[in-house]
Amino acid sequence: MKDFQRHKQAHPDTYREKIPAYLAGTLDERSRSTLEGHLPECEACRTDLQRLRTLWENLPDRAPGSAPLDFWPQLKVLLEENKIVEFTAPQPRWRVAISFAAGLVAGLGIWTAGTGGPALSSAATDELLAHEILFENLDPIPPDSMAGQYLSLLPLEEENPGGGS
Amino acid sequence: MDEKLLIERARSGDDDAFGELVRMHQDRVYRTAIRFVGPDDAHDIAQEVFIKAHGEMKRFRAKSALSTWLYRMTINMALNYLRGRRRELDRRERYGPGVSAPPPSPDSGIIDQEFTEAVWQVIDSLPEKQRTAVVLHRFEGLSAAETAEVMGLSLGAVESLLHRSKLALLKSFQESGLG
Repeated sequence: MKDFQRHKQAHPDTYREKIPAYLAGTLDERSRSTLEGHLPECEACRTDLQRLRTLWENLPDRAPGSAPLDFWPQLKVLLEENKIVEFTAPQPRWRVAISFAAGLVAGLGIWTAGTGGPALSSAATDELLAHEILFENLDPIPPDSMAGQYLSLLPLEEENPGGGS
Repeated sequence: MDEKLLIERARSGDDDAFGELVRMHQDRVYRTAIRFVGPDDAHDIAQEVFIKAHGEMKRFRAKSALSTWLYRMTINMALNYLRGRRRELDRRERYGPGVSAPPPSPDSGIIDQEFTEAVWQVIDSLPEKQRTAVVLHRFEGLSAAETAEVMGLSLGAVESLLHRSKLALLKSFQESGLG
């Protein structure tokens, strides 16, 4: 950096700024001639040009030449695990459960609005939704919970004995 | 074994054939990933590329070379990863540090490594397309035409990207005192 500062003081920036474009081949003809005329009489610019050219020709690579030797064995284990996850993933059941829960909540809402039945609080709705989404994996809705108390008021309860209490 | 035959067998679910394809292409995927995201995250990216390739193998119609397909996946995954990381960094800058910066690696005192990293910081700061062209052409050794095929651009567009990136890099190297 100190070299650069000395260089900057000793030399007008106009020539130095043209060096990258000169090396990239994007300098117009006139500027190129001017710079080429200047280079023999300016050691600082020649040094700058040479350093940049050397760096460009020898850009260091960040990557090693090859992947680790155990790349495929590790990947194979991951692929096997992925297959197991794919095989056991309960996606279809979740979709059915979510659809069922959404339908149930919507139906209750319509019934509540249409018949003047008991108001369904948002907390009870969330609780119902959570239970219905997981209904195949969890215990039945507890009768003393808000959702359970609400379900106990529904006339459909006797027609669907497995659905709640 | 012939790559086409291996691809056919891998598409029909033969994992040994897929493994052979992985061994044939793992180095270029790994190297490309490192050049985009650095050594710490490249392994994960390379694994993700092959996991995705395994899942998508049946849809691979071999219209382009397998290497082209894998390059594209690697670059897309690496750039997506970097975009996510940039968003996370922006968020941390805006809301304060959630996680402290990782400690410097034990080799951070080695001058060559520091110089290499300084050069790559400049390369990393290029716009995505310029950077991709530089990585594929300059470091991976693809011709301009092959680079164009991987990037889905015309040859002229890639040549223009390479010219602009060379000028931008040389300017930055000069400004940062690297060159």
